Amino acid sequence: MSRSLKKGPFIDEKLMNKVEALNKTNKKQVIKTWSRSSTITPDFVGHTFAVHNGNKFIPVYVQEAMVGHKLGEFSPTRIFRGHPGVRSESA
Amino acid sequence: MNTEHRQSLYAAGKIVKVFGIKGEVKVYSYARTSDEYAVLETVKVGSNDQTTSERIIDSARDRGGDVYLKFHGIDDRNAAEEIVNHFIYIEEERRKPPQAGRYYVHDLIGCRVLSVEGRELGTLKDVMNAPGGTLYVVATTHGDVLMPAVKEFIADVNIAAKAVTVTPPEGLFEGEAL
Repeated sequence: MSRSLKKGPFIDEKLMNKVEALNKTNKKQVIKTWSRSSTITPDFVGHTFAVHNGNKFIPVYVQEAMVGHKLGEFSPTRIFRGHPGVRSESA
Repeated sequence: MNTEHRQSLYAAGKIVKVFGIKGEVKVYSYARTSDEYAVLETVKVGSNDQTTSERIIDSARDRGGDVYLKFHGIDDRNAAEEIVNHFIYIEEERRKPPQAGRYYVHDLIGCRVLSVEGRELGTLKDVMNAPGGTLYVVATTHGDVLMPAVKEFIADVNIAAKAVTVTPPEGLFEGEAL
């Protein structure tokens, strides 16, 4: 079920303030964030976010195609190491 | 097999399964189309680059975006099953030249990462595929640093000099992120 249009997209306020400050000064600096649920807006395009995945920060360079997605989508929390029980040829 | 020989082989694809009963195999090709395999005529097949055997390509074709190869001497399904999960290797001199602005990961690994001012930031250790795009893993004096491999941050790549010049955003290498 999609989020109510009345509410608008969720963006962490502190994160938005940082982006707005960078946009005003036209500066490019990595923004560290734990807010994986923040929606990417057009203001974010061209900025680099270090998005925490629970273990470390994954840098995400925001491009136009990412607008509307959440930051967390680009910082995976799990590593697929193959199915259990499947023997590797080199093992 | 000596080190020099091992370094000159490049994986061009992986045999993923058998197709049909006449010894044809389905190949997950890293870069080549079936026509390019047909031109090669021979390739090396093995579970790793140290234990390869030369195989003659009898036929190569595309089907649904996948490459299907038939090797000389492999004429039934049982024989083909023995090379499933093996890699297809080609020698360096027969390697397909990359398109402009594209590089082989193998060539990038080990390159020095320099800032535009000439300051050495570290060594390119690995290339990762992340949902947000390709990332360079740069080994620095204070640990590994991930850098998005986007044209905005890469000023120059000089494979011959083993150097990548970058213009990273402030805070990526210095640890002074906002």
